[in-house]
Amino acid sequence: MAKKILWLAPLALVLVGVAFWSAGGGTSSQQYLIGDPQGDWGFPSPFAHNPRGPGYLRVSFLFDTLVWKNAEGFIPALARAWEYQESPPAYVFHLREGVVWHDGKPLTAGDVAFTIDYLTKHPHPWVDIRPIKQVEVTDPYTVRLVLSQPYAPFLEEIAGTMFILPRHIWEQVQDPARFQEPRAAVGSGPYTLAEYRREHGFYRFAAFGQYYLGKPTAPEISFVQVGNELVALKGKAVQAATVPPEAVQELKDQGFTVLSQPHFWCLKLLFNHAKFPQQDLAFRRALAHALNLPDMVSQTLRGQGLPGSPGLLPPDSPWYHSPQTTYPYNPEAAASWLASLGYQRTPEGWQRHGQVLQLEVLTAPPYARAAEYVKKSLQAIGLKVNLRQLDHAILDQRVKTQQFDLALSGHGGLGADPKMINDLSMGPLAAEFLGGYQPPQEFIRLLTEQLYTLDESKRRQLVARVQEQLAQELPAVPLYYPTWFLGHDGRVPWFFTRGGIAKGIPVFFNKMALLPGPGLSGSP
Amino acid sequence: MSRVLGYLLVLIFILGLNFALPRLLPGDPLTALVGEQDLIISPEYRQELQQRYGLDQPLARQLVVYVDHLVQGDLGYSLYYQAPVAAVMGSALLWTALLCGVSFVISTILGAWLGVELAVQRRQSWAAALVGACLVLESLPGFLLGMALLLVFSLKLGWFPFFGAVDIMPQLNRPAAFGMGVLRHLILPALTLVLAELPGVALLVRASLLKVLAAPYVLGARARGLGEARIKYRYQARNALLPLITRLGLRFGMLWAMALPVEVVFAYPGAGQLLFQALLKRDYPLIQGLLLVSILAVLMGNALAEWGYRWADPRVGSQA
Repeated sequence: MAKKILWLAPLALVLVGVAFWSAGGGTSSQQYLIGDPQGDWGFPSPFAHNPRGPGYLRVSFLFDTLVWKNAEGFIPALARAWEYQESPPAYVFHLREGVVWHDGKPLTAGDVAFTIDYLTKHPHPWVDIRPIKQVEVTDPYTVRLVLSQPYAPFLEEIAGTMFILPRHIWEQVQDPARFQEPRAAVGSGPYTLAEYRREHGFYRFAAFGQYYLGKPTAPEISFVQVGNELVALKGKAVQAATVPPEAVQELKDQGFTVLSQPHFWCLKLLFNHAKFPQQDLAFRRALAHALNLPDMVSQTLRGQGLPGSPGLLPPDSPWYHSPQTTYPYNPEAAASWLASLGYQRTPEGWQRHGQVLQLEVLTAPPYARAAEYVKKSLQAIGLKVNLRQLDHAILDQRVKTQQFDLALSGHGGLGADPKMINDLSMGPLAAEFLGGYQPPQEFIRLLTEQLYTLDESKRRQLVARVQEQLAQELPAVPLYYPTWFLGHDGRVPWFFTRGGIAKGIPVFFNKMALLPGPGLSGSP
Repeated sequence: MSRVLGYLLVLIFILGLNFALPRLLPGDPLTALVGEQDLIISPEYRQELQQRYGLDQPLARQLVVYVDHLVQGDLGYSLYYQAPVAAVMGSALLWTALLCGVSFVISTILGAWLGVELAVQRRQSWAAALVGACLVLESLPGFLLGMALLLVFSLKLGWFPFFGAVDIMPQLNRPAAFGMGVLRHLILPALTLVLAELPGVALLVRASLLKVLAAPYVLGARARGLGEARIKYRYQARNALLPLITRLGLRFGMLWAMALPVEVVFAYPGAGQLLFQALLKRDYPLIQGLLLVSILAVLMGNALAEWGYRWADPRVGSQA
């Protein structure tokens, strides 16, 4: 036996030796790594990135837009100033002079005009440029965008989201998604692409010395795939990562800075509006009264979140209105609404015309606890309910094709321009977001009006009425908005962008936090 | 020749299955691509995507295009990663081959040795304790084992890196430093897989060795005065290895599957993790490419097992 142990000893020594040789493999002070469990979000060019938020975010370090946002709202970016002209409706952007692309060539109004023309031929998931009727380049640094009609979300949806492309590079590109050479990452943003390794989800950006707002304070910033964000952060292998609520105090005790962000993601209970009784308002109200949302937050999120508002937008949205129509927890009211539909409570469940009402709730693994809570709540008022857990893609498709009774599904973007409510309430997309809900004419009128109202106070009133209408109609029950946290080493003054980055990406990594000089972040 | 024909028929069947299986999955790639209602994409953009990826074509047409491209060595274009499938999965396959290969070799050699010792020393108390430990280790999920190793060796002791397969620091990209980086990143995931795989091998070898410990040819060898070590390894172990060799091909496939959670825990950029993502995203071309390679690997494993079987037991060759 002793001999065998002696044989194994060299093996153990090699292992320990390699480990000690490896000591000091942490990140250097130059490096700033942001951990992300997903990893790869596509090549960081405006057309090759993954269409979801993190893909766009990575490109935003390389490419700039006409305007951008900080913690307070819109700030100048490539355009030093802009103005709105009423007749015909148009925005005039005055570009900064002396702005150069990463390859040293100057950026002019011709590049802006080219970008819009290019986007008409090659649609982009983030920018719908149809509201632009005409583009006029009045001088090398002035561009006038004439709109087909007044369009309130213009700054957020187009000017603040559309990456301006270098004409001298992209004019020859026929297939923009497959254009993934280093030249495809040449933009006018504060960083240049130093390295991209798909398999490691690794993006290394180097500060661009000629950036028009000054060279970024962090010489390098990188995103990298990690297995466990919390472990990597605690081990200082990364400098910033999303962390779970239960780790917040421990991280603070260890000297990390932990930030909580506004609640721009919502979990909803969806109804299939093609089926009875879900299509009936009385039924939806019955279910809303059967759910104790503050208790649900306390039990399923350990209190780390906010209960849903029936008007959809969360209390920390810039457009939030507290609806007068609310659905406090009230099982008696729930029973009464069910009875109003002709259902009778029996020991087997709620019956109508001799048939017991049976409901299936579709859910996905991340919502397992919420789904259990919903099931118990509905069973508590006597409904027969069973849960079916599916993966996201299947759940989304079942909802889209209206093959469900009830479903739990979530989405983000709640901090974005209220145009988002139009997108998810009207047209073909309503099937995906609100279970095929058909809004009444008055609601459609309100939604359309708010889109074309430029006066902000008037628009605010309209958006408040939209939320009130949503609360009354209750096409879906917003259940909760979870609280998300960012842990970081405090080196970069990260701040949360008003409404989320660009058109509502709910993360902290706004490039303005990396720029020198006060005032760019707009944070207090 | 008939064996080659058999493998060829299997391959044709697999190609058809490979095309059909991803498409039988509920859910469509475009919905999965933009995420769980994370992004509102316009119908125009959706249509553009469908055209770009040929998803608007009838299934028969898609099959013809798939086979046509495959014959030309083109595995297609990944919907999610927006890159050629070969480029996306090439490096991932290499990393998984390295991880699984190293774990396979170590777990097979150490497991076989341990199995022999456990059988020969079966009356020792430490052998009984080790059998118990093997049973516990075998029942532990790989990700749990990996997580425990990560917490102890990376977080507490700081000996090994937390994620990835190489050092991402550019100044360490010299060949020697690169090699050391690969080794350091490999140790914990490989150790996880070895710990997960070794007990099964050891228990299998132990069980089959117990049957031949007192076989007449062992008695004969002892009567001829051969050394115990020679009897143990040349006579007893060689005969007891047959079930292990039979399972070689299958074991490699299973190891591939076991690597998935380990790759996730260590963010090891392997093919298991890639396949998992491809399945979630309904990335048909990438699923097809990865499945094809996996199936070819298993077929190759089976062929190797057949060859190994003949080496270990010459009677198999003479009977064929």
